[in-house]
Amino acid sequence: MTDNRMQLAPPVPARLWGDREPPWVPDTVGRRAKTAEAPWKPDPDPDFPDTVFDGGRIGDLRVMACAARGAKHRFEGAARQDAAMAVSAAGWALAAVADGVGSVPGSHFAAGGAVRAALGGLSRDIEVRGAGAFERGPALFKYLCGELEQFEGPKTTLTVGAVASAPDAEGNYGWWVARVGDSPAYVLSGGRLVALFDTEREDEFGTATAALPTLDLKAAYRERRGRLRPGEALVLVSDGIGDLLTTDLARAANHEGPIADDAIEYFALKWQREPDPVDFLRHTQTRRRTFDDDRSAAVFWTAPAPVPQPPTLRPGAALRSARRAFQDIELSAARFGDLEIRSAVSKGAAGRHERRSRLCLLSSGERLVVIAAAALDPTAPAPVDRWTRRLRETTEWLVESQALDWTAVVWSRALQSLAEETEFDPRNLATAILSIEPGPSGADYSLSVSEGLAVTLAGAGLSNDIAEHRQPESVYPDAQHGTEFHFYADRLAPDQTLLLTNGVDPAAIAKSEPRPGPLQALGLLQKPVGGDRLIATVWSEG
Amino acid sequence: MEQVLPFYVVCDESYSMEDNIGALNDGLRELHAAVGSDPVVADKTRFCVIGFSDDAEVLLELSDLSDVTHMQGLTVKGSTNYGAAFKLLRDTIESDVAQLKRDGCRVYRPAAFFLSDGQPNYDWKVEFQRLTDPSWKPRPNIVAFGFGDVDEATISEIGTFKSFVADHSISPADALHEFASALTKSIVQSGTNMTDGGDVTLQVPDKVPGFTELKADEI
Repeated sequence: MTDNRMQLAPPVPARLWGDREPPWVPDTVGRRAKTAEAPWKPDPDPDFPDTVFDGGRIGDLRVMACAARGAKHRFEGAARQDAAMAVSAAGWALAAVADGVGSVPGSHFAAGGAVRAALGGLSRDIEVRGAGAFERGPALFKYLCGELEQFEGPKTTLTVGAVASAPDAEGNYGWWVARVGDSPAYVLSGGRLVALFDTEREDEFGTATAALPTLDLKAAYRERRGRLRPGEALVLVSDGIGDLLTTDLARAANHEGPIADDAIEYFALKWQREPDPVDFLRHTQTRRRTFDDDRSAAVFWTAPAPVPQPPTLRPGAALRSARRAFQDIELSAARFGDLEIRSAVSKGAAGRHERRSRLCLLSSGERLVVIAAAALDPTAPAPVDRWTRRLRETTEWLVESQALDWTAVVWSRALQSLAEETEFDPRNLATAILSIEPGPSGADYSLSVSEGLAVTLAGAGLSNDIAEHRQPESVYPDAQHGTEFHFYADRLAPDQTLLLTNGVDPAAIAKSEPRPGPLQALGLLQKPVGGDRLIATVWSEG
Repeated sequence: MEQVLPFYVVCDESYSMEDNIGALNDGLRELHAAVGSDPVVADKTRFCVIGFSDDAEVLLELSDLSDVTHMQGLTVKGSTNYGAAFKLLRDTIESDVAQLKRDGCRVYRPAAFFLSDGQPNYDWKVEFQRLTDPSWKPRPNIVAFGFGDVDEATISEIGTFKSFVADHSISPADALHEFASALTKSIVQSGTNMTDGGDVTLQVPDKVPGFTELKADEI
């Protein structure tokens, strides 16, 4: 060969982003995926946070469902197009996974709407007819087609499953699964995953999958029934995980042998028994080169409880396609300029109600905005939903404003707009609005916070509660309701981390891990008891 | 299945390239920087460079550009032997695809970007037929670029997917830069639009500055 060595630009240093160490970093099964190690961009729509999760028990069942952006959408800053949810109805656990068809804009609306409509519709039917509801699977999917027409174009695959929470006379648990599209489903038994549906994707170059809404439901609809023995699990996944599994199944069938590691073995082993929720999320994000699609999974595990325990899975009957649902866990994380942000919110272990605290992460223009709200007294009513919606609307309305006390302006305007509504009572609300802009010499923040949410500045081995540590720039009283909030503005130093927390000990976090990866941030919220918990942590990597 | 879209660039290194080979090497440097720093594209594509004059040689084996730190640059040599280029391209694709399949990859139809500035000095039709043989499964989609003394009919015949000839609206050096830039765009767009289990189509810009696309029906 002619010697004419040409030096090229050095490769971008492999600087792993996010979770870097066990037990948080997702496993790589097969070849290394560089896309999965790249920084995430913010979610474009705060109603579709990066990761959502539901988990709970009913009778002898434990159920988990989650949907997370894939590496490609994270890298590109595109919205999550998968959706997944788990609920209960009468003596049944229900779950659904949906995969919005990527070639059509807005498909995340269809996926989210399909999951809510399916679980809501099926829950209501089960409450009336019991197991008779499963005779009406095609009618349910026909109803879904109608519901999804409201989105005017976007399409989605959908798999819905239900498992009886009590055993039949032989000690088994009846299940029913119906789907449109290519998302696979499995029974996990004795360490083996057994596919419930044939792979319908025939040729190497693939064909468009069936999706809802469809005019030819008869051709697209598939249904299976069976019974789980104690210790078995029913697994529903979108093709983000299904492609990992079918690849290795196909290789086994062709006697090509497994590639270095085998995804089937991986999931069969990891999901044989119910994992910890954070581990379940970590498993769904298992990395393999080029497998960068969104990931979703729902798993039902059967195991008779030694002592019957009250159900924790929330009922699904109130779900509607057009109404946003607040799932048990939401997680977002991103790099924004030089800023790193993690935000996670988790429902408390007690009660079957929908999560009441809210955490919303928005990026608009140069500004990253966090809105957090919770009830001061979780047992008393608080208009958390209405208040956070109004704050969001006001945020979007005032997005161009350059006011130095921007968060205070947003808060005051939102409050003003509700002044006429006498039934609106914010006295039981704990709220914080943080706006932060990365800049060349540090990140300027504007923060408004009321009693009940902790704001901590951590750095250089110290952590200080902002309320104890310094005077606010100003105090804004709300004479109408006898409340007030404090406004702070400052620059975040490069060695500082700002923590916004509720329901967890900020001092302990600030000392141990104020700059966590996304799953580690969620891990900070894991506690078996107590009320809702949230954390938002932001720092500058400049 | 792990998906791979292989790109081959096959470049003329004959004497007539003398004044412009530097521009082409610069273009390849920029291509490397652009593709290597995009993890979505780097994960899904592979890139190989073949140079040819009297004979042909592989200057960069099929590689993940995010792992590549240096390559053999193009240098001017002798005459213009298309046949040697097509033979080496077929042999290289054959072994690369077999290896990728052994590695458990789903390999999409390779894309070959062919660039020449002159008329071939040797017979090349037999090797071209072997390269484009419809019964040979991994036959590449060929995008042909011609400039200088190239014969339009020849370039049009070689470009099974698209063909372009320089229209002298910009300097040859600039045109070669545009060629590398079109190749970069093609890799990035094709790599980004690949979806799990979905279809993949080779994306090639419709307009390349300094070049005119040859429509099949114009010949």
